[in-house]
Amino acid sequence: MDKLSCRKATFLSVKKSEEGLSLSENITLSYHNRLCKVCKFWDDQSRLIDFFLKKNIEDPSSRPLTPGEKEHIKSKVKQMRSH
Amino acid sequence: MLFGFAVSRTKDEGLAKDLVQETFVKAFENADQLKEASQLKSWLFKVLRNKIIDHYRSLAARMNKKTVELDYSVYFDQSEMWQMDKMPGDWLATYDVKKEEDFKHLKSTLEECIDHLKEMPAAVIKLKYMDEVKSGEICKLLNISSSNYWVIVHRAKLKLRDCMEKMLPRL
Repeated sequence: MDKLSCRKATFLSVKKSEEGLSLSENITLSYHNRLCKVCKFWDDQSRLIDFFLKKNIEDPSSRPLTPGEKEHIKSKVKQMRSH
Repeated sequence: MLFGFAVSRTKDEGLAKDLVQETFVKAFENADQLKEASQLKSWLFKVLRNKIIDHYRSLAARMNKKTVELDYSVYFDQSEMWQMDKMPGDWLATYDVKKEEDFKHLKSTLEECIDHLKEMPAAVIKLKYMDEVKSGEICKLLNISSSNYWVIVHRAKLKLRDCMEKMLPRL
C-alpha cells in the first residue's frame, strides 16, 4: 500500500539526488512514483534541474560598477579607515 | 568582479556595494596577512565570501517554521497532495536535451528561475552547486540544522520546477 504523500515523495526525490536514500525509502519512493504520474513528472523534471545545476549552469553575471560608484566606494573606504 | 559576485549572491545591489566596501576595509586592516601580492584577487574574494556567508547566516537565523509551512501550502493541500494549479505537467516530453537549441533554452530558463528565487534558497543553491560546498559544511556555515537545510533545498527545487513550467513555451 502506498503510504507516501506527494509532498514526502518530492522531498525523498530531492534527498535521493543529493545524498541517496535507504533501501526502504528507495522502494517506497519508486512505488509511489509508479502509481502517481504527477510525482513521476516532478521526479524527471527535478533530475533535469539537477543535471543543469551540477554541471551546466553559470552564475548569472551582473553589471560591473560604474566609475562613479567605484569612486564612491573608494571615498567611503577612506572615511572608514580614518575613523 | 567583486561587485558582480556580491550581487549574484545577494541579489541586492545596495547590500553588495556595502559588502564590497567592508571587504576593502577589512583587507586594508588585515593587509599583513597577505603573503603574496599575486594572491590579492583570491584573498579579496575570500574576504568577500566570508562577508556574504555572515549575511546568509543572519538570514537563516530569521527563518521560522511558519514561513516554511506557508510555502508548502502553495504546492500541497492539507493531505499533502498536489494543489490542482501546481500539479506538474509533462512538458519535459516536448524537449530533447541532446538538441543544442533545446539544451540552451532549458538552461537559460533555469538560470532565469534561479534569479527569481528568494535570497535564502538562492544562497543555498549557489553555495551547493556553484561553490560546490558540501551540505554538512553549508549547515555549519549558516548555522542551520540538517532538517532546515533539506527543507530549503526541497522548497528551492519546487520553486525552480514550477517556474520552469510557467516560463517554458510548449514546443
